[in-house]
Amino acid sequence: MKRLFIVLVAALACAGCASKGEHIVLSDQNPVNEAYNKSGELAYKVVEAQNYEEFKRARTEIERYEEAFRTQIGGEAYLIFLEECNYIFEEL
Amino acid sequence: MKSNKRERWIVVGVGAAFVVALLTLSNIYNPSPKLTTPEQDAQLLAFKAETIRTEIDLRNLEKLAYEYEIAYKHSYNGAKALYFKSLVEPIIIAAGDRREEIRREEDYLAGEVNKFKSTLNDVDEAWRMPLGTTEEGVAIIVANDEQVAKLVAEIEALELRKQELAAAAWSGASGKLDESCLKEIGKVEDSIVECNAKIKEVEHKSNIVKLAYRLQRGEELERPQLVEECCDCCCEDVE
Repeated sequence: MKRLFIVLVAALACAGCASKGEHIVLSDQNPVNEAYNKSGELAYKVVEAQNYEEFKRARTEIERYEEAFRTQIGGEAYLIFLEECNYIFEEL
Repeated sequence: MKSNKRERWIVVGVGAAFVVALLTLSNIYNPSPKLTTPEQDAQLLAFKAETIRTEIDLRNLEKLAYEYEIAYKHSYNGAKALYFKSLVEPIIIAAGDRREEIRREEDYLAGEVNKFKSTLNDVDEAWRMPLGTTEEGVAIIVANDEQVAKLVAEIEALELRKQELAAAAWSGASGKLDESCLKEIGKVEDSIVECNAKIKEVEHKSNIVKLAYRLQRGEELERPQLVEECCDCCCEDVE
């Protein structure tokens, strides 16, 4: 009974981790460059989405990168990421 | 005789331990800075000032500088305390300026984060908005524009009322400012702020509707009246 409980908890934990999706790891080699590249790529996906499903996918992706830039890099690169995204969003 | 001597030593020992404990505790709860020279202590504060990031850091530095100043006053004299203060004051001012710059940067970053999130929310709302015909969309925009025009007129009337009240408040026979007029001015100003907030809200709604038509149908909602007005006023003049 006890083993079954442990296995169940472990399985639930694994499922929980898996449902969060893959974890984004940003390179700290050239974060500013990465910020320019990623903001351009992801913001255009948001702007050029053809339907709500596409937009939702693009939104999830850009928000995950925003979170990654904020928590892993921060500082100037994070600000550049936001500024570039906001600049591209103005095309909407 | 021997036991009396031992008792006396025990009392002295306990007394000394009590005094040491008291001094230790007072040092823990109310530590006074260890003074070296005003120049060295000012240098120490300058090093600390370079690490300031938050408002609390700045307050702590100011407090520490004050504690040093008091310690110099108590340990030496007022002149030495004043000399220390003259050394530290520019350091504190520079630290304050740096903190102000950091605050401005933080505000700017918060603004960019807010813009990023609100844009995504707006686009999400626009994609999910159920749309009617183009004419219905235009009707919403026209109705919103009319509401904005009404609110602008209301603000103009309120501004006039505010000027009248201000004139009445100053022209009191007693030579004092009229309290009731001042209260009324406060209410009018609140109403103006409220109207401005409503205008922003209505304009935001219009922008979402326009965005929804553009995203979902690729249509640009235009006010037909604007085209007619334009033809009436300027196109003829040009010809």
